Amino acid sequence: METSLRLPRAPLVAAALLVLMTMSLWAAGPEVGEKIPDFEAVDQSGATRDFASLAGEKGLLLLFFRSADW
Amino acid sequence: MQLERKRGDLEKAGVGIAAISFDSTATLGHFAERMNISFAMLSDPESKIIREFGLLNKEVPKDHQFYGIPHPVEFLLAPDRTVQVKYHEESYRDRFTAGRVLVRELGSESGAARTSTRSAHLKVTAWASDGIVRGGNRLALVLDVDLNEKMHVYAPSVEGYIPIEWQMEEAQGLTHYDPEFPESRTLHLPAINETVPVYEGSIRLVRDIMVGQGRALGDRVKDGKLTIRGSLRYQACDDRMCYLPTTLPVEWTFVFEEHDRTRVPEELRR
Repeated sequence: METSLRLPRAPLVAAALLVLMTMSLWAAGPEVGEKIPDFEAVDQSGATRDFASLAGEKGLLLLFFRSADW
Repeated sequence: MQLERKRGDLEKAGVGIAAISFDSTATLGHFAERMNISFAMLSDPESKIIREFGLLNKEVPKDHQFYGIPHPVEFLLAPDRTVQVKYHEESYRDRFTAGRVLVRELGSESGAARTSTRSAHLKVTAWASDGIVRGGNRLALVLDVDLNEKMHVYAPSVEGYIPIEWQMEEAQGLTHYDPEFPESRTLHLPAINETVPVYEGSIRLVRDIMVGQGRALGDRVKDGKLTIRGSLRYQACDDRMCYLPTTLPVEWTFVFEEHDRTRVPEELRR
């Protein structure tokens, strides 16, 4: 009895995983209309920068990229 | 790097540029100097910002040297940090070009690969958001159509007439996206008591194209140049008569740039 209840779960779990994986691919990060978190990071010249110091009067184009090395 | 080339135009449009990776400042400094990059390249060596944004690529195993890389995402942000446009690339080689952002999101007129053709009814100027392209670039193609005085063509929503149509040559290594047409105006034809959606004067049509990697393009890249062809088909009418349907060829020629595979010196690598 117990096994017959458990068996159908496998495809369900697989389907749920697939949905989650697809979501992780397409729903990563803040969406249109949401605010990004403020951040602070050091740039290539050693200066500490935050959003306000990077943005122009109309805003900022911000890219996340893999690596400058490979 | 296409982003650096468009830095001046983006600054003129009031938009700053920054790029974040998990590289050290030394790696970024080396890269920026070699590539003459002066926009901010931000170092997030512990992937702290990448995680805060929810952009950590979890498909990379934790013990892998590349663990910590982000998903390749670009944001166009308002001054209050609100996301206005978000681009999520499928592969690390794919990029919505900064030129495309300028043309499609910021209304910039600055472009390249400009050519003009004239017919008896109109003049069409083809141009693109970028003059230099690489494999994986998604850029904007533009057709500026200037109709002769009193001439009109039919908008895509027309029924019973031949609408204006922008076709692109299907070719391996090129992905075409649907063109965007401006709003049409309604013309009343009293003689037959009909109203039809038309374009008059000057209109701009824009569409995206994704350029594949050099291998996929095969021999389309000749002497470092890539030419993309299409056509504009329409039927023009003026206040007296309609003319024969016409197909005007249009084309764009780009400089095709190979990917830079130079690495940073060994001591700077992760």
